[in-house]
Amino acid sequence: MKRRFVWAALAALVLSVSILSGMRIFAAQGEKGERLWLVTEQGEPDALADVVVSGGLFDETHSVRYSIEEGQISTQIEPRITREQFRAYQRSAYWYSNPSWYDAQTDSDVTLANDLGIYWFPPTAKVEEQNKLIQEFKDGTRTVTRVLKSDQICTTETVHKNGKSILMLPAYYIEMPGIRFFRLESYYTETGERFEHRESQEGRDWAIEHSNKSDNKLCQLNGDYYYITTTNSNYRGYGSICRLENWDAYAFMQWEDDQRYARYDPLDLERLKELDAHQGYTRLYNIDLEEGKRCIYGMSVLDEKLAVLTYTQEGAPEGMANYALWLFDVARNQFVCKQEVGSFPLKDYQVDLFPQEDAITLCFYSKTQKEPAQLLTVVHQEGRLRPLNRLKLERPRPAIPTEVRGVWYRDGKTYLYQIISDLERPENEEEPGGDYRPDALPSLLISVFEGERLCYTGRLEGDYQEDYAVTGRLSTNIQVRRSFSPVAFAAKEEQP
Amino acid sequence: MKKLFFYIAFEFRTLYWKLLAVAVLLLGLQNLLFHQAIDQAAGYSVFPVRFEELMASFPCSLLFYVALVLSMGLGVLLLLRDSFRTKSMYTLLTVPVPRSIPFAAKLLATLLGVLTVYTVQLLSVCLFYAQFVSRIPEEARMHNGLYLAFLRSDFLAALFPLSPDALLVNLLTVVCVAMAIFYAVLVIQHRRLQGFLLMVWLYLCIRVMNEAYWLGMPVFFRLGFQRSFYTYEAPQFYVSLALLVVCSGLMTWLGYRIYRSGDA
Repeated sequence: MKRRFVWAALAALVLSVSILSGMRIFAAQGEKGERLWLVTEQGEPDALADVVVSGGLFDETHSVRYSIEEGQISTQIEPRITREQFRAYQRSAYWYSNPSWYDAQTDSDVTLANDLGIYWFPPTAKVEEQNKLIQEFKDGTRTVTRVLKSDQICTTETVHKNGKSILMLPAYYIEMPGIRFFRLESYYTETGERFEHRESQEGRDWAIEHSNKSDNKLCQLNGDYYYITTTNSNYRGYGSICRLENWDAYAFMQWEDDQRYARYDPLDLERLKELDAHQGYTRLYNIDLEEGKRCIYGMSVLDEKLAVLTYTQEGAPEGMANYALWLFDVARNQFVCKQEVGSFPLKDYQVDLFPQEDAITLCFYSKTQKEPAQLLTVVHQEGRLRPLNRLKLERPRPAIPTEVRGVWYRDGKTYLYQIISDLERPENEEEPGGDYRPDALPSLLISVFEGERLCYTGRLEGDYQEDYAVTGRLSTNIQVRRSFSPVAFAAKEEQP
Repeated sequence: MKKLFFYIAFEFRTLYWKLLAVAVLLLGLQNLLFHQAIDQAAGYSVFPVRFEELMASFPCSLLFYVALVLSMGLGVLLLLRDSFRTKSMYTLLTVPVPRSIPFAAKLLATLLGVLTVYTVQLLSVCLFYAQFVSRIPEEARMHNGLYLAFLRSDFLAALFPLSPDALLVNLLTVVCVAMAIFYAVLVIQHRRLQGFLLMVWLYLCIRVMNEAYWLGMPVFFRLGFQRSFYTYEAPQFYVSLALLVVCSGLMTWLGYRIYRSGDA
C-alpha cells in the first residue's frame, strides 16, 4: 500500500521536472520556426549573389533576424525583447532613412532620465493619466509637465504655466522682416508622421511649400549630432549648421526666452551669438538664405563630411527647383565642393537621402506617385562630388508606391528595398499608399539595378503576413503584428 | 533519507486523491471551456485564428490560480490534520525520529503538489493545442503558432517563460508563497504573535518595494508572475532570485522552529 504512494510521489516529481525542462527543447525548435521565402517577380535571383541581405521583423514581444545569402534564407527568433529594444525597433522602422533620429532620441532619453529623473511609465502603470508626468524643477521656480508616451514613438511636450509650446529639438530661424522671430517646433504622431507647429507673435501661418517628411535635419558624424535648419522660400536671414552638445538644454524651454527672442532683430548676428550661449549647441556655420532665393532641404553624411542639399527656384522653369548638393567639412568649418543635382518639381516632391560609407544616394519622388522615382548616387572623389548613375524606378504595379526605404550602391549595382502593401487599389485613387489599410498584406520588395537597368525584383514573403490577414476579430493593436525593421545590405565576405 | 521518503509517502497518501481531483478538474474544466471557445471561433467565416486569442477568450488563468490555491490549501491540511482530526501528532511525537523529518516531509509533499498543478497547467495547454490542431484546418492556423502563443499570450508568457532563468524565478515565487502560507498557518496555530507581526512586516516591505516600481523608481527585483517582457538584466535577476530564496529560507526556518517546539 505504502509503495504505491512512493511511486506516485516519484512519478509526479519526475514528470513535472521533465516536462518543465522539456520546454527548453520546445523553445529551441520554435526559435527556428519562422519561415520566409523570396518570390521572384522579375529577373534572376543571381543578382543577389554577391551581397548579404540582412534585416529583421519585430513585434512587442519578440523579434526575428533573417539573412539572405546565395538564395538561402536563414532566420533566428529572439524570444525576449525589452521595452527599450522594442522602442528602438519602432523608431528604426519609422525613421528608416535617417537612423540619427532614433539614436538621438535614445541618447536624449537616457540623458534626461539620468539628469532630471524622468522615467518611462510601463503601460499598466496606475497613474491617472498614463502619459503625463509632472515634474518639479529643483530651483522651484517653475513646474513643467513633460508628456511622454510610453508606447508611442516620441512625443515630447513641455507645458509651461504661462502657455504651451511643443519642443522636439530646437530649430531657430529668422523670418521675414516684420514678422520677426519664429520658432519652429516639430513633433511626431503615433504613426510617425510629422507635424510642424509654428507660432509667431502675430500667430500667422502659411502653407508649407515642402513638407520634409523624412527628417533630413539631423545627422550623426563621428559620434556627434549635427543639425541644420531647413527652410523654404518664405525664410529670410541665415540657416545654420549646428552641433548639438547638451541634451539637457532641450528638456525644457524657458518662457522668458520666448519674450527675449520676440524682441530681437533677426539680422543681428552678434545678438544671435549671445542667445546661442544659453543653448546646448554650437552654431558652426550660417548659410545666407539670400532673401529666400536659397532654400535648405536637408543634410546627411558623406565621406566624413556633411552633405547639405539645397534648392533654388532661380533659373529653373516655373514650378520647378534646381537642387544642389554641397559638402561641408566640419574640421575646416567651410564648404568644400558643390554639385548640381538636377531640377525637379517643387510641389509635392520629396527627397530622401541614403548615406553609406563612401557614397550617398538621393531619391527624388513625387508624393502623388504619378511619375517614377529618380535615384542619383553621388560619391566624393579627388576633392569633388561626382554623380555616378541616375536611374528611374517605376512603380512595379499600379497599387504599389515608389517610396524607397533603403539604398545601397556597390560596383555599379544599386540595391534597394521598399515595403509594399499588396492591395489592389483602383487606378484613379488619389494617394496610393497614403493611408493605413489594416487589410493589406505587407511585404518587402528587393530590387537590384545594374547600371540603369532593373535586373531583379523579388518579394520577401513569410509567416509574418499571417499577422495581417484578417481574423474574425480584427486586432487593432499594431504592436502584436510583426513589422519590418530596416534592411542592411553588405558585401559578401570573400572565402579564402 | 529512507525515513524521509517514508514520511513523504505517508503525507502524500493524504494528498493523493485530492490532488488528483484538483488536477483532473483543472484539465477537464479548462479543456471543456476551450472546446466551447473553438466552437465560437469556428462561427467566424474569416480565418486565420490565433491560438492565444482563443485562450484569452475564457477565464483560463482564473481556473489555474484557483487550482494553485487549492493545492497550497492541501498543504495546510497536512499541518492541521495532525492536530485536529486524527491527533496523529501525538503518535508522531512518540516515534523516535528527529522532528525535522516529518516537517520536511510535509513541506516537500506540499511543494510536490504545487509543482504538479503547475505542470498540469502546461499539459492542459498542450491539450488545448491538440484540440486546436484537430479542429481548425491547416490553412487557418498560424504557422509556428504554439511557440508564438508562448511569446504573445499574456498568461503563457507570464507563467511559462521560455527562458530557464525566468521559469526558475516563477517556480521560486510559487515555492515562496507556499512557504509563507505554511508559516502563517503554524503561526496562527501556535499563537505566536511576534511571528505574525513578522509576516505582516515582510508582506508590507515587499508590497512597498513593488509599489515603488509603479511610482517610477528604478526596480531592482521582480516578484510574482509578469510577462517576460520586462526582461531582467543580470542584477535584477539575481536580486529577485536572492530575495525569493532568502524569504523562503527564513519562513521555513522560523516555521520549523515553531513546529519543533510544537505544543499544539
